[in-house]
Amino acid sequence: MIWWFKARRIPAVLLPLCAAFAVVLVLAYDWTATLPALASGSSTVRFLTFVPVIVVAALHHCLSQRLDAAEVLSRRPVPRYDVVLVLATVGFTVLAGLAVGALTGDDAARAVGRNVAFLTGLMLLAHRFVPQAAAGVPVGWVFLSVFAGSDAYRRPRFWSVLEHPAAAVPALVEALLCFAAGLAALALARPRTL
Amino acid sequence: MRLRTRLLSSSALWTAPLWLGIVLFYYAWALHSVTGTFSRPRAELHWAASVVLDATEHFYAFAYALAAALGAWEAGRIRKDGVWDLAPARSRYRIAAGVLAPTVAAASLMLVVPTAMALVEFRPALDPRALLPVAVGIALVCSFTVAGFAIGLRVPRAIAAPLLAAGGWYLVAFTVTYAEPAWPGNVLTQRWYLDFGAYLKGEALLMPVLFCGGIAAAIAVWWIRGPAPFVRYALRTVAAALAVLLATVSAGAANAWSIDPPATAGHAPETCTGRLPTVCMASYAGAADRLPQVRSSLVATLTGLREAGVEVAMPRSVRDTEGRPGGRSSDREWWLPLTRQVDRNDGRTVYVRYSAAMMAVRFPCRLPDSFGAAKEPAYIVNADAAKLWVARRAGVQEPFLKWRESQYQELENGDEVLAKVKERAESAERLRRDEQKEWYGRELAKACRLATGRPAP
Amino acid sequence: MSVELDSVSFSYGRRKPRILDALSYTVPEGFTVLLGPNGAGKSTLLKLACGLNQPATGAVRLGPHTSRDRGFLTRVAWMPQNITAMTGLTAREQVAYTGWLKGMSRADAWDAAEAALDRVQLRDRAQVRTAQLSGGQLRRVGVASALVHDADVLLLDEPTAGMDPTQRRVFRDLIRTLATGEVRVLMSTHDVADLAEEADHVTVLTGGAVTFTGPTREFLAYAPAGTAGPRRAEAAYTAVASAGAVLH
Repeated sequence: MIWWFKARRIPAVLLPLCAAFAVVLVLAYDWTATLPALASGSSTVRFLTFVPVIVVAALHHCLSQRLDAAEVLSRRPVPRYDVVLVLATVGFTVLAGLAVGALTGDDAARAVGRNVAFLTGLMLLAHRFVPQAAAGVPVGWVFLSVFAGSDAYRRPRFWSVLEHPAAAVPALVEALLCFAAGLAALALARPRTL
Repeated sequence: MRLRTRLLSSSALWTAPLWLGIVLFYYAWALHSVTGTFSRPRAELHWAASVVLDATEHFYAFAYALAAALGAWEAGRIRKDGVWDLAPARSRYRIAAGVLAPTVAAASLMLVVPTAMALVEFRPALDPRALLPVAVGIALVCSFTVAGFAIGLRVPRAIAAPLLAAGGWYLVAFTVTYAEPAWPGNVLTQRWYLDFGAYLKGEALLMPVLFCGGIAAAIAVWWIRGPAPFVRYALRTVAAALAVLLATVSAGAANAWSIDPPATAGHAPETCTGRLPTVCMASYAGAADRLPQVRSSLVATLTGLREAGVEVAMPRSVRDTEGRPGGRSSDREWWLPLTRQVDRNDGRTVYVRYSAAMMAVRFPCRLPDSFGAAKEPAYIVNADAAKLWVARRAGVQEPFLKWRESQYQELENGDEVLAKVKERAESAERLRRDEQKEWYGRELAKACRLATGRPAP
Repeated sequence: MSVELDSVSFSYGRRKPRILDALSYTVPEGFTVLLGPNGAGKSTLLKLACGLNQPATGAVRLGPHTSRDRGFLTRVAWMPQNITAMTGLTAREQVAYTGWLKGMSRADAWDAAEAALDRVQLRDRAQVRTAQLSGGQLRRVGVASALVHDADVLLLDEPTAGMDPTQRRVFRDLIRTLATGEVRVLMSTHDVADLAEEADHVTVLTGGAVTFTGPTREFLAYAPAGTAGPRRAEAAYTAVASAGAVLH
């Protein structure tokens, strides 16, 4: 198992970037900038909206570190380990977000874990179906959400997920569905040809 | 490598739907429907330099982030593809330049495309100086590409590219809101804005290039493989020192601007007509075709006022403040917002006449700027009664009363004051003509006495 | 027990042409060299035989197991043509990882990795990160990965590419040792002259079909009379490959 850990670059990449995520979350949770938005002349954009990219990018990189042939022919349930890795990472971000949110009273911090789950789901789906775009899809969604995710009255649109308050049930459901779909793509996917 | 091959193998191509989509969507929707930048009639839409900056204002951060992200991605790609292991005969810089050319092109297009669309849409008279900000933006795109490439040589591209895209965009765009210190927003071109008739000064264009270009050059030199280690280290040290020097100097200069990068005004050409007065309006503000009307309105208003007994000399010239801010009116030369006043009335000149009428009212003292600063606040009744009388002579009482009503909201008894003003002006109109002239002079003098506590000279 | 391909067909995509079409083949006993021109389907055949890819039609079996079964996976070892250098692993760790993936315990995999690296004469580089190994060394890591667990069938795709003559000699001796036991070895190569003479059997694949399979001496008989030494295998191959018909 240790070799799977090292093969996935968990100690070298994922753990440090998760730590960086936590540090940024604590230090910059309240950073805002008034930036142009499409629905209204300008809107306050939280830095927190972009922070999930740190973890999602790290996960994408780690899951791409594979001994393809050996792992496809493996007796060990490697896809299951990968799923556990993703679950543990996302779980960490959920806890970190909830902790920071509880300490600071900041709602957006509480929502960070949900956003990481959603973007991770998108990344995993892209990784399965359009691997070339997997690195860009989460970032693209963040930009889309920032610029067009709210209407003229700053109300988040139903699809944006990232802009919704932490307690918004529809956003949570969407995030969970997307995350579940991504995990399924990860667990069940096997390259048809190598 | 053939151009087609270079493009097909580049990430700039398969990300094109994303960055082109941002440009087209943002230009078509945001700038026209949401922010109103291109939907409100403004004089700046007739000034090429303003149009270019309005069109590109929000794209600089995108372009830099795209350049850095794709630069990192391409660095990872050629490393993964083993290009460096092929022992190439060409210089590494040449290879890198070839690989990064599509990236630079893509990020530059994020500035060029909205510029072109805006210039085609509004067709202002084009001056090469208007395009200099875009050229500077492209220079910064090159700098960010180099930085992204350098990062991509070390950091896995799946991590570097998304972080540079998201983090880079946020941190660059964020600088526009950051006023202390001001230099980050200024050296990253986030605060460029121009009024009608203005151009950015050379230093506003140069400092970003020095800051970002110096750093990028130092990064590029760091990659050098010199003939001997000593030469290599020497070059790197010199380049780094130069970058620090340039960054310090340019940041220092940029910080001195505060949040307003230096610009020069008054470049917009103007069209003039007539003598005594010569009336000039900004040629490309969209109202210069009304110049004859404007002049005749001004002359008619002033002539009418003179006949009514108002002592006003015809100015030698009346200039348009559009594109020429800072002009101070004197007896011989008046500065009036002619273009804006004509626009407001869809071609009617009531506000031009209104401005002329108010300019004709000359108090024999300097009135205070606010009600509370006067010796006797009641001065305002006499001052405004005199003005209202003049406005009625010129047929512009409506805009005058509208203006004063909004000002009187500061007063506790604003309605009462307005009623008194109207009553005084109306009762003056019941006098004979010569008596009205005397009344007018007395009102001006009384206003001064009440306001300053001294008799009028 | 051997790997048996029974009327297998395969293409790399629905609309792509079939690389193999209703091919039936059984990996012979001992050491078999798989020859054929580029694009003949050698790698495809090997990938089907190890279970990496699944045939569109037909089946791949190892005794009672098909290539989808776990029992198949533990008994067949595969060395790909391109060896991935895992950035975070040393040579020994990468080999051990492969063994662990095949179901070995951690301790067994670790010990077996050391032994496997020893067999390919890479013991002194065991602690070096695979990303820092040369191409030939990385290929030997790939061979070691295939040897780390006790497989019944070894499928090797161009294992000697990048090896120097001494290393190739060591490798051939190693394969000979393995193949004299119960292990069947099927190896694709372009080193016709070196390896064909060492092999027990030769299979020639041309255009997705087996045009020859049989003992080496039968293969060499296709060489024109008077050809001797290292040129004999080459000449035999040329004759077989250009014949176009099934010769066995």
